[in-house]
Amino acid sequence: MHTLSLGADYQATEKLNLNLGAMYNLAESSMNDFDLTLPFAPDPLLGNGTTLLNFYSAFPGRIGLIENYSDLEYEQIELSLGGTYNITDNLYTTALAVADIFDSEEDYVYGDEGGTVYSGYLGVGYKF
Amino acid sequence: MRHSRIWLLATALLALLLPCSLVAAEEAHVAGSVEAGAVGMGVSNDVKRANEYTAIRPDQGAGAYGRAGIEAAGNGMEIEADGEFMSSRDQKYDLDVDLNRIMKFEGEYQTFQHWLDHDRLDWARATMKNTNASPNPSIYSEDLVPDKDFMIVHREWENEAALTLPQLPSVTFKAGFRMEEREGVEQAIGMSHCSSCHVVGQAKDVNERTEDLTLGATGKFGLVTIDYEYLDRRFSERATAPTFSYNEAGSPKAPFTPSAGLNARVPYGGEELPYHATPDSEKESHLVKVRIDLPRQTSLSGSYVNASVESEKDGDVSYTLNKGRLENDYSAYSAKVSTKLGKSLNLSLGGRIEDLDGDKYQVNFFDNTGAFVTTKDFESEESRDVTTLTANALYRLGRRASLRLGYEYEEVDRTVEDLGETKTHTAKLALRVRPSKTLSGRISYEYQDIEDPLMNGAGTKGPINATFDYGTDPKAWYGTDFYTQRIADATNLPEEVQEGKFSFTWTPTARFSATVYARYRTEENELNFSTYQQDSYSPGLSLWLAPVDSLNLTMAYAFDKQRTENQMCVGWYHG
Repeated sequence: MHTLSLGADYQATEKLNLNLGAMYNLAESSMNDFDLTLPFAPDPLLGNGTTLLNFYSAFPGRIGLIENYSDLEYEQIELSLGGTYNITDNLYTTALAVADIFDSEEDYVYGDEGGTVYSGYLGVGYKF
Repeated sequence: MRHSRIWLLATALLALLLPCSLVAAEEAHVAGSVEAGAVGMGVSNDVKRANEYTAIRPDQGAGAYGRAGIEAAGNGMEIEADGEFMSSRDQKYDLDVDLNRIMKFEGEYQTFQHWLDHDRLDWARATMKNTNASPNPSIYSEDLVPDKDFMIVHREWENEAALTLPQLPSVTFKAGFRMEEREGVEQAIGMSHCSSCHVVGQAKDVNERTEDLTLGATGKFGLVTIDYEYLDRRFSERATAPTFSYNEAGSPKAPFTPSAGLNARVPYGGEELPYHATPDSEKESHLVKVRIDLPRQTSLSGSYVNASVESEKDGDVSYTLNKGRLENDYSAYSAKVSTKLGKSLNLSLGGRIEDLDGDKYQVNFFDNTGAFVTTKDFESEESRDVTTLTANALYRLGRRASLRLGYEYEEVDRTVEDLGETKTHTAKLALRVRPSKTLSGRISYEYQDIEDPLMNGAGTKGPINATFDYGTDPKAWYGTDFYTQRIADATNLPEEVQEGKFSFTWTPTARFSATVYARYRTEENELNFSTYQQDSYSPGLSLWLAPVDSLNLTMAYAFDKQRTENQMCVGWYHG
């Protein structure tokens, strides 16, 4: 897993403060398939009186799928931009905008969880 | 919960108004802020991972938000209160009050929502895929609620008060109350039993509440400090457990009748039964700590804790227990002595003895002949005695370095003999250096030798009888032909652990700082037919730069990798 984050806080003027944030996340996982050797040849026939060895035909396509189903990867990006402006010594206005982006490469475990969320607020405050 | 929130908000409001009226006569300090505005959120595709732990809103929409904070001091009273309201499910409030250092009160309330994943159960086909056309054993997985969203709303309200009377200045009385709620919907996964495993996902309502009440006191009498705390905890799940349809146990050869083959050996089937149930429980504990400060920087400390946990459990479908509640008891004694020898050496020796006593119980059921059976007492597998001994030394190597050595011995003696006894020896070494005013760092190494970690002594690998046939007489059984013939140890716990860490910070100027760190850990267990090994790497770097007074820049990078090698048991038909 790789995680990279960047941040900045800037007092642009005496009245204006800005802040910026960015975060990137990359996660990967995998499992090797089984190293399995059957001690006997599977028999595709099935009927009364048959033995257990007949229950494992089509082995690679049915049991040897761990590598396929464990190859997972997702990316996550978060960006934020905010600021505060002091109108007077007591009165100020503030704002923040955030974008969260999630992208998953495979959906066989939790479905397609990819999505983007945009959020933010705009307000006025008074200090006393 | 509503009445509690109103009480807390009223208290906060009172705290806001109180300073104006009471903090008047002498020099009073009051400062604060009030902020309000609009908040909004838009969602494209899925919201669950992009907004997993909500901070502004749980889902798309718009509304109003508010923040307020106040600090007031005067007439021997100090009050600090903060509040933030983003949405009905995203709120946070804090209140701290100090009245002439006689009474202190801290209150906090927080709520947020956690979006949960929705398992589609497709992964179940990785080892036993159902191809429909093949009569081979397989796993058939089915999500019964594919469009259901799972989420939990968390709420926690915590208060602590401390009272120190002027007439009794050496004693402080304490009381606390905490309430935590989890409310929402989780995914419940169940499996029936038959020749083709049917794995099903459903929705489960969650409405849990945990209430903690603590009472205690701390007394300082010269060189001796004594601390006592009583805890009463109650946990309840007020939602009903989901139900699952369990198949009749069948056989490819026998008809589905109660007297045939496999079906007669399974005590339930062909019915809708509850599952994924969370039992209510109660916990009570007493904790006493004593510390004696002696001359020459020597101190003795000791503690005793006694706790008991009771949960409701009187049986399930097809069996009953001989009691309606199970109780586990825990007690522990610990002692530690630390002293300074000369100018450079600090030593400490300590020990702890723990006794965990799980409840014993008997199981009552009807066997496949119709006879009523009562088992012997089952001992809880949690029951154990644990003994821990520690020794630590800190040696100052001049003004710019110190060396720390540590050793710990732990012995876990489990009451159930089959689970065995585990002994762990841990040795630690750490060096802290400051070669210059701009450079400081720490390097450490830890080694663990673990004798007989917990494992399944016959977990996997046995002879395969290619002519096994359970249908004809004399019958062959999985229990005798497969499970009891397994010979390979199975565990994911190590018998040897090594961990190395380092961290260095370089601050050449007042405007720049860099920290580099890394951690490497390796675990290994040489089993009789395989090797368990796990290696973890975690390096990282963080930078801070302030090129001018008005600008602060930060950057951080972290890498994490873990590789595990172990033997896996692949089910042969039913395992």
